[in-house]
Amino acid sequence: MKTAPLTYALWLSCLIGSLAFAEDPTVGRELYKVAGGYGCGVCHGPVANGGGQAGGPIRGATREQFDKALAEQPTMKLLVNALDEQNLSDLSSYLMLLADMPLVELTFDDVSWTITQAPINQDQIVQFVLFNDGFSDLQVDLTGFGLDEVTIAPMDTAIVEWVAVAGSYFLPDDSLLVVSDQAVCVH
Amino acid sequence: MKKLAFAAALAFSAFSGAALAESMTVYKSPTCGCCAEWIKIMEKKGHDVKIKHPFNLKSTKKDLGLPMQLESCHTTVIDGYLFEGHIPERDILAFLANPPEGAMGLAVPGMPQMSPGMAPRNKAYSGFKVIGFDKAGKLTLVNQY
Ligand code: HEC
Repeated sequence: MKTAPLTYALWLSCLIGSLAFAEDPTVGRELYKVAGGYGCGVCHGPVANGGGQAGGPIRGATREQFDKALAEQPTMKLLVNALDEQNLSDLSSYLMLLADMPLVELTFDDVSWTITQAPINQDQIVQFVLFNDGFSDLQVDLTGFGLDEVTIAPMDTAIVEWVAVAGSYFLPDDSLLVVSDQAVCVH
Repeated sequence: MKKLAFAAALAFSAFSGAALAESMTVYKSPTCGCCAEWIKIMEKKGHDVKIKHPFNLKSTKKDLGLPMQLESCHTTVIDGYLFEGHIPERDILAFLANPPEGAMGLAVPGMPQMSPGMAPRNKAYSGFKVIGFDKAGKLTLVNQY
């Protein structure tokens, strides 16, 4: 799985002065990939987007929901042994951070695209989740977004981040992605 | 078609005597509950399962040669072939009865809800693909539930 570097500058600029955190979403993001030896992504998708896996999407899940799942979900119970309090709060802050990043999921199965998109506002950091659900290499042209073209191996996922600029854009299935010109500071 | 393949598998197992009881090594994390459920199913079917908890599971998977986009929780090794994740037993047996030229193994990526070890007992498996991978890195669709 390829992951483009995260840009936190904008997100932070929305928050500066409003909090000094002991929990660290960048640490949480790394932990998300490896917690328990296999990471959270196998059950919740590479960026907590669900990805069709048993755990479903957990972007924006609260610490209470996380604690409850660790206590009650048979498949998550044993993870408690691998995570200390700092790990839990780092993971939790990563999930909260993702809540503010609109998701655009694009899946190609060798025949057609399946695309879902959240509403997007100017300056938000959008996560494109490109899943190649087919058996040949997939090339996706994102140059319309000012991004590089990406090539994705069969069954692989590419995560591409993009700072939204107001306007209308074509997606690979020729549907439109619209970015509203209203900026949001969600916090 | 399905019936024929099944008859062939039975005939083969009667001939070799051992095809239905495999000896397997499962690499997993000690925190993995669904891996243990999958192992229980394999043991119930009569297979001999050895469990290993490597210090770094991800690098073990890489060293074994798994294409990492096919990653799930546990990795099983039988006769030098890799079986990643929640693969139904019948797909493993069908593969072992007749491994394709150059094949490395099979995978069910991720953690599909209705797969063996994840689905409630006696519920039909559904909603996932069994994917084959070979030494050249080529992936193929082997089965679909
Ligand atoms: C083996 C599979 C598995 C793994 C690994 C796993 N989870 Fe879960 N998780 C689940 C399942 C299943 C649920 C319940 C989903 C439901 O009820 O729809 C769940 C629920 C949750 C919930 C609650 C969601 C809600 O809507 O209340 C959170 C939060 C969560 N998981 C976070 C995590 C984090 C963080 C990790 C990594 C440290 C993780 N999970 C690893 C399977 C898993």
